[in-house]
Amino acid sequence: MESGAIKPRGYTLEPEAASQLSTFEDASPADVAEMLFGRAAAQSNTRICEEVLVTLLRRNAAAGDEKLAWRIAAEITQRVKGRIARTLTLWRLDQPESIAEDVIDEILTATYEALFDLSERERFWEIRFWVAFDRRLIKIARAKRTLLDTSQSQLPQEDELSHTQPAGASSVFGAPSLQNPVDAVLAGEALALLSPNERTAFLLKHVAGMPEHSEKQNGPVTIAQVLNVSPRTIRNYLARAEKTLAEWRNPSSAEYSISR
Amino acid sequence: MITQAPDAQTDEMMALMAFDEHRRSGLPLPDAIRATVAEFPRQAVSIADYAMQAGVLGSDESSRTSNPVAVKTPLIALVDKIAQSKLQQQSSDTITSIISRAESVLGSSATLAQTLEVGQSLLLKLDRRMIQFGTIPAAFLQALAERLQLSRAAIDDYLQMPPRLALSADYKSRKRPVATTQTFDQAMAASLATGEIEAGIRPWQATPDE
Repeated sequence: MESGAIKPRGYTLEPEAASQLSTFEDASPADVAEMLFGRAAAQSNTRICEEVLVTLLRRNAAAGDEKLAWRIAAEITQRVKGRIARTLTLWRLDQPESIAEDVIDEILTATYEALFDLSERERFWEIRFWVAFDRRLIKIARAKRTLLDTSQSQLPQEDELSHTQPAGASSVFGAPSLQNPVDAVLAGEALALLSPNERTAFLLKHVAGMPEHSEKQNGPVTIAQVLNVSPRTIRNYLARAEKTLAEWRNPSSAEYSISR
Repeated sequence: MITQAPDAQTDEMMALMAFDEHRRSGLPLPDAIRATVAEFPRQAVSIADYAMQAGVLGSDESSRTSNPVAVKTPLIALVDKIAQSKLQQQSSDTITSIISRAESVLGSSATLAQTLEVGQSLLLKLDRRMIQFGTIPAAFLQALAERLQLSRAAIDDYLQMPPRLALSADYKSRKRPVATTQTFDQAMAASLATGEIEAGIRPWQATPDE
């Protein structure tokens, strides 16, 4: 529906990134390397934007300077490693180590493939790096989480139970409450326990305040319309989501281990 | 710098960028979600997950210091270890384009064509992986690797990836164009037919290695 209705829009580089990029305009590969990794760069307080790094990586890859391109890729990797680790924690993919290794490998491979794919469809990385990167991260994490949830037995292992309530989570978030959905949404660990549809329905209702459904012809966009399911299915999604979140708030509840 | 979304497949990315734009413009999280979902209803699941991730981790890594998701150092070390191994593997022996590599190592793709005694059109087809890998003679692959100062494995890996279209072509059709492939012999014959190479030169007719 939206691809026909929405006109393609143009996205522009942020002013800071555009300004930084202009300083590299006539630079040779040697100059670029010096400007990025030389002594002056090390002493400078200016942090080169990720979008600029991606653009320079792709320019040099297109010009055949793979060595410099991969050096820039290494710099980008340093910038994203913390975020990868946090995403693994958020989606409960950090243990056991073999799973974490698989996911990290997949994320890095996908990232490098996208960075070195010089076609137009990956140009977004040059315009909004973190949006493009998070999209990849989430896609991989969601797929892996769904696969694990499907393949694991109904009863969780001992170490899984301790994992779903990270140490210190309650002190960080307070006690996330369904009466305070913004707090609840910030408790990402809890939302990551839900299935994609449950999570979407919960977020659209409790955070975005969208109606579950509407009888009106030209009424507001509803959750049932968005997810293309019946109002009853939406009610089921929400009921399951609220049950899971309530159990997350009270992990000592016996219901938790039964439902998961 | 401006880029346009080329087709409907970028809907998800457009939706996430729209959400990001809403947040950057100062729209509160609920309003940003509502506005983006109304605009891109088919991307609701992606928008919800992105909103969750952005809500918890912040919109970029600079929010690290105030980040509520505590991460153990060994996990970051694990990411680092895997990344280093992949980077080392890649940076030592990969190519992104045969033509670019030839220009970088030999000065021009014409020099490579000349030393291999093939037409430049054949090199261009190889560059875009439009020649079926299994039909390329092993001796040719070896010679190509040597001229480009790469391992045979790096050449094999590159040529076995899917074919790609010209990067800068301005495709007008709404249908996605498809790259067609041919055999090595067909590409050689085409070079001969167009007079790119002399009729007497056909050193690459050995049996393919696969």
